[in-house]
Amino acid sequence: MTALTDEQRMLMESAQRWCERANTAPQRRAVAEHPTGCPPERWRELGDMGWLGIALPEADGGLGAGLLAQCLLAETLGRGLLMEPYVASVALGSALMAEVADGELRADWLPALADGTRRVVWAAWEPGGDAEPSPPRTQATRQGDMWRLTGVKSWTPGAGGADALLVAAQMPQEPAAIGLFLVETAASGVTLDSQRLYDDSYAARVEFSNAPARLLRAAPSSEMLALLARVLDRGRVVHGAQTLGTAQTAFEITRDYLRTRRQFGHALSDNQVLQHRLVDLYVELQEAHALCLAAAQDPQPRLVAALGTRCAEVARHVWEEAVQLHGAIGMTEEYVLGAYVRRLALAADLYGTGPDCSERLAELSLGAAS
Amino acid sequence: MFEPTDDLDAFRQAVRAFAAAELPPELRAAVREGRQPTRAQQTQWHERLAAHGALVPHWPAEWGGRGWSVPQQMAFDEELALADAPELNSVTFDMIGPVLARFGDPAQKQRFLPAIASGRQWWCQGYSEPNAGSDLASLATRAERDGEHYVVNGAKIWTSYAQYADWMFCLVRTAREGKPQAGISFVLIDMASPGITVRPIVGIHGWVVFNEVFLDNVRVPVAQRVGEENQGWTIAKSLLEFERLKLARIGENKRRRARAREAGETRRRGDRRVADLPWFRARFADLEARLIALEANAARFIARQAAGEQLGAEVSMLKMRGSRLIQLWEELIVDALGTDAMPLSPAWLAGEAGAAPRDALAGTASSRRFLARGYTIAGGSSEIQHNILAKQVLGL
Repeated sequence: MTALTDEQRMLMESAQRWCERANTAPQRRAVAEHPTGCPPERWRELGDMGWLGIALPEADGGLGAGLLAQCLLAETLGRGLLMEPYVASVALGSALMAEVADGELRADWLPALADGTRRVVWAAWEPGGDAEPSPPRTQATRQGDMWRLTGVKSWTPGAGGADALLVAAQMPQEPAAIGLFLVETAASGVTLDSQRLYDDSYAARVEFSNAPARLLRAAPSSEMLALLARVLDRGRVVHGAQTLGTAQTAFEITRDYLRTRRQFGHALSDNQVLQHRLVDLYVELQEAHALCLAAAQDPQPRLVAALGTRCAEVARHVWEEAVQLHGAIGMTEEYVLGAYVRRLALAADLYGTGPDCSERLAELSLGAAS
Repeated sequence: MFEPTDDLDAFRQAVRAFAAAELPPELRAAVREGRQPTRAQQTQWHERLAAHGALVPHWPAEWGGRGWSVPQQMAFDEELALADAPELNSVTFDMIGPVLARFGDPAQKQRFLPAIASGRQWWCQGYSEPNAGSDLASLATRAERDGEHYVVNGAKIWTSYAQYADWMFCLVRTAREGKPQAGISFVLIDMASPGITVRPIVGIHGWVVFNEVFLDNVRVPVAQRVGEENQGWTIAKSLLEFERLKLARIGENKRRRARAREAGETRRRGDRRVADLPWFRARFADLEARLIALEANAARFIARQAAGEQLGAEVSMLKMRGSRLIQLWEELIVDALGTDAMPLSPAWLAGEAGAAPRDALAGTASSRRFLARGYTIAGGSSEIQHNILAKQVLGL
């Protein structure tokens, strides 16, 4: 990992300033109270900053800055506890759209995704399915020039309030082919069951009943699944960066609290047992951060699986220790730590739980279990 | 002469070919099977490395250094570990060599550095004492001036490989005034000197790594003191930065990873391979993820050093994590082997002629697992590393 460029540093500083100004606790509460968890005017503000198109090609209205820059941004937004579905919409939705859309659809959608006037998420998971992209059970049928989808997708972060969903579906009469479709959420036959999650973000189960859809790309099953896996892995790296940013802040809040809080006539941080526990958290965070940046530069499955395993472990260790080291105050909703705790607990299980990632790493090293 | 290339993958291949051709088969077998390598076996290997310019490539060029980059050196060490070469005695090649190159006077350099670089001289480190472990400032071995000699009396303990050593670099107390660290001097002692007794200490692993070294009126020429009198503490503290990077022990970890996989793939529980059992897979992947993270973290420090940055106390985290991870691999190996890991033949362990293991992979797994406990104790225990990070990095 080489040192940060001036551009990268400026990007992180501007994101930090924005969070301090526009993402304070009352502002975060207002976002959480919004019916979709993503107020459109704030989303456009993120677009104005250039953050929604950071990894999109410049020809599509993006900044073309790549995965590493996107991770540094996500880390900073994670530190500031951004509530909006950044990873779901930008690192997964827009990224997949950029991978498959062409022609008129591309020209129509990508600049709007980059400037925040529209938002797309990828309904990636099958109900009760694998954490990795697997053959879809949703069925596509053709009606003249139009496609229709019927099926169900599992919890999809950020789906509420999105303009469209990306949906993989089984092609008719071609059992070995998968189509990737764009479905507008306002269309008939689309039902979103949007729920508030325990970290105050939102996700929806999605049902399609003969819903109109546009085909973005069709490909042999293995080819499409490989493409989806590649996009998902890149999104997971961004999610890892955001999670580690949040964990870093939770660590710093805890460290500062132990320095300030006095018991038995001295600061809590004078106790060696507490110092060592802070050191363990610090070292785990440093290692995971190094791993995240390595994966951002080379998002190969082995690194992504290792990152998912470590992030889940570190996120959990950080929030559990943060609560324990604070004592009772760490369990209150009004104290600043609470929102970080809830976010870390959820983030550890998102886009593949720790055990999912660990079994994937085992498969890469030991082969599939027989 | 072994010439590294900028293409690290090609370099690694060349190192593998080198190890296949040059690593003596008996030594490879001893390391692979967990028997303690003899001094003669190790010296033979040192000489071959020296002949190829690969024993002390990290030293200053004047004394045989080769100007390899840190990534090249790390790759070299890693590939040798994976080829079942022994860990080189860091006291000799990473500590006293570089210390003499930096702090020794011209006569000392001329006398010792070529001998060490030839691979034929072995050193041990006389730091710890019965009442001074990590807290070296309280050490009690004393050196009294008698003309052009010091007369040294005292006892050292946990002196690794003293039974093999030709020389010992030793911390001795030369003054009692002032701060405890202030009265310590750094002297070089010929292990053949009259008055030295070495008592080997057999470890729970069955190897003799540790020794007690008794010093009874040992006469040491004043010319064998390194640095000024009473300034030995500064020298003792100066572990060079490259050595601190090495303490991540990536290669040693990868070697154990390979053994864990081998154990998982070759052992069964009932009709299932261990490598197919959920507990093994979960633990293997957990350790592998830690190893990948450790490697990424070490790479970050390597890049910083290559860019000319001074690495501060933060680099302590590599030793802390790398040493613990080795222990976790050893535990996994023992668990994967199950009851196969229970027998241990002392004769086989000691390399006695005619002794044969029933099971070469499992035969010394118990010994290795005990041996690995030393990594978190020696060279600044994990608790000391925690203290360093708490004070110097987190400012607690």
